[in-house]
Amino acid sequence: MNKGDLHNQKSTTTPVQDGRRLPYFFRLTIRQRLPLLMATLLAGVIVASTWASYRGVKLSALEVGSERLVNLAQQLSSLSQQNAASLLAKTGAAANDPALQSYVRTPSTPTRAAALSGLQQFSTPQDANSLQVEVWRDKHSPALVFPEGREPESSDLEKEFKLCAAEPYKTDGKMRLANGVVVYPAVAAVRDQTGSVIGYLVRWRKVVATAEARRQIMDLLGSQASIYMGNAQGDIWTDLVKVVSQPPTGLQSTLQVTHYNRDGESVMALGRPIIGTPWFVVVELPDREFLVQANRFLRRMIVIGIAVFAIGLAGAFVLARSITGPLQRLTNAASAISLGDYSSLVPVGPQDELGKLAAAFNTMVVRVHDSQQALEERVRDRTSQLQVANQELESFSYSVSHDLRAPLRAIDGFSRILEEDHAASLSAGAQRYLGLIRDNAKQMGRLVDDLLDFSRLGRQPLQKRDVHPEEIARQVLDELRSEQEGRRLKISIDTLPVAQADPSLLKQVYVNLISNALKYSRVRDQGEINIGAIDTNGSHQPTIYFVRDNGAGFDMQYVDKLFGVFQRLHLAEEFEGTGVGLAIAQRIVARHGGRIWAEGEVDKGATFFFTLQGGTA
Amino acid sequence: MTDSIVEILLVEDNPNDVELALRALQRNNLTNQIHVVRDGAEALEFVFCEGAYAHRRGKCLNPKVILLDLKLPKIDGLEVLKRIKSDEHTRRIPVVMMTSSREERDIVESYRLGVNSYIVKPVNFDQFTDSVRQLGLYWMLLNHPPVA
Repeated sequence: MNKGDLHNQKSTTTPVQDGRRLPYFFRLTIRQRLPLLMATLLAGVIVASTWASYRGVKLSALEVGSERLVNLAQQLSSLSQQNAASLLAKTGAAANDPALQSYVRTPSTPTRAAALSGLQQFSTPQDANSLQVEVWRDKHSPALVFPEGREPESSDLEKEFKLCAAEPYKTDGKMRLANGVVVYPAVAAVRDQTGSVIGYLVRWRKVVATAEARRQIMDLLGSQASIYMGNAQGDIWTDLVKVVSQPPTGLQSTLQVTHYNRDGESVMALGRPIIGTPWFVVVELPDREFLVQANRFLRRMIVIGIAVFAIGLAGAFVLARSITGPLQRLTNAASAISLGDYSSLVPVGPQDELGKLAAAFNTMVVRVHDSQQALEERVRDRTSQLQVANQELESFSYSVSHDLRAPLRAIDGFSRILEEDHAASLSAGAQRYLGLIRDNAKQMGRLVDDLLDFSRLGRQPLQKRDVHPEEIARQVLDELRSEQEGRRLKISIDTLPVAQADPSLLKQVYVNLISNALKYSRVRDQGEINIGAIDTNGSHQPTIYFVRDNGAGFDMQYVDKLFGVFQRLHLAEEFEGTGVGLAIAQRIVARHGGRIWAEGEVDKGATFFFTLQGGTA
Repeated sequence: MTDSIVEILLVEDNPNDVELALRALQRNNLTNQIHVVRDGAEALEFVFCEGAYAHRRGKCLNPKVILLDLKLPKIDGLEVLKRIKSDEHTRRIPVVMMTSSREERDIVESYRLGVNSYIVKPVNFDQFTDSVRQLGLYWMLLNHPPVA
């Protein structure tokens, strides 16, 4: 075996790769799988934590908003209450002005002029929200409207008049619509010295905030807030500029912070009654005002999340590379070793698991290489020893071939010369001895030749190919024609399977077996020889070929001696031969990796079997 | 004898084989022009008219055939064959290997070097005599060598 043979023994097992059944993820390489897994986990954690914390921040922001809303609504309500109370106090004071009292008691031009001058304080320049002022003497129609020439605003003041009939003799009426403007009446009773009600002072005021007032409210509430005022019963609502048609529902009854959508925007609102009036005030704040912080927080979280994701992914890539890199190097080194390159050790790197694996791998490579080299050295030693032995054997048989035959030739030659030249002076006995000397010399010559044939068999290289044993057997029978002449023979050749063999050596096997069969069947009147094969049914078992005769046969107890060199079971006088033929046949069959054996019975015949690997055809 | 025209040069170290060969040739009336040499060196000296045969120079005629043994003292048969076949003047001399060796490599090597025949000497003297007879008949009588 040479170096190449040892190296090129590649593994013939292929790893099981059933890619179709595995999910896509497991068909990826580790270098792809690790980052993918990492990315999925990171994305999950980041999204979940961002969403949860955003939700928490949002809820607390809205809670802060609610608290602020409660405060604002409370403040606004009490502010409105104070404002209304002070306005009503002024109205009450004006209603008990002596000039107005005297006008109501006794209407005349002088008293009317005096009353009007007293009402100047409610005129537009002084009170920007004032619509008009009315003085009623009875409950049916106003006696005086200021500014003069105006129509009375509303005749339905029954309820307010009724409320003014008792302490504190003044009230704010509910809101009404006047020419598209929301107005309300502040009503105070006019009483005489005895305290009985003799008339009413009605101030109609617009529910509109001046620019100055709005600015103050915005300072208080913030620019995003909306304010709505209206009747507690909910029929009229104003945003202090104009009438609004869609009053927030349910706010009057719950007095709780309510969330709803206005114009597609999420808002929170809280209503409060204005004590001492039939009115109600609502503060509405958009959620987004409070969510600004939360949204900023969310944006920051997203940015941080993306950064963490990117860092994690990069880390996963680096980690995957740090795992697959050494593995790849190990794989490359292992492949190189399988091709016989032991020079490729892998870098060991850090003392982690892969580093230890690499170190162990390197140790293994060195060990394997050493033992490989030791083995190769041993093979080389043995091969050279064998070569030496072979050469010795060869020169030995060469010497035998050359030198043993020369004296034999001399013995035979000089005996022959003696016979020829001195026949006359030799007795019959002397001539017989000379004949024996010559016979033995010739027999010795045959033995030497057979022995040389036998030893040559072991050295000759095998040249195996597909051969047809049937044709070979026919050819052999043809060449052995001389041994068949003058005999009654029945020879049959079956159809024989193709075999893998060296044709000249297989022929030698058939020569030896068939000539034996011819020789030993001489004892029969009709010799029978069958050359056949035992069908192995196309299995991978080697084919069994046989040569059968009905000759002298042999005793099965000596079967072991049949195939030995110079072993004979019959006397030379009975059957000639050197006893090398079967030894040669056995050696040839053994060199083909086959087996040879025999079955026989004395005086019944013998069968010789041998096996050969089937042909490829 | 060395001055006469030599038709057969027999190169053989074994005296028994020499005697047997001469007898076989004699039986076939081929003894007159035989010269025997006992080793390879002497064979070359004879063929190239050197050493002991230097006096043949000038009238040095090639033998009709050389019967050459393989195993010879001093210079073996294959070397003798090689020298004869590589010289311009001697390469046309027919050389017949007459040897005991049946070794395939000897046969192959002899033919590679240009041997004209390869005869295995049989042990049986009758067969040997027959071989020599046929050999002599062929090379002495039947074969027509080119005119030197």
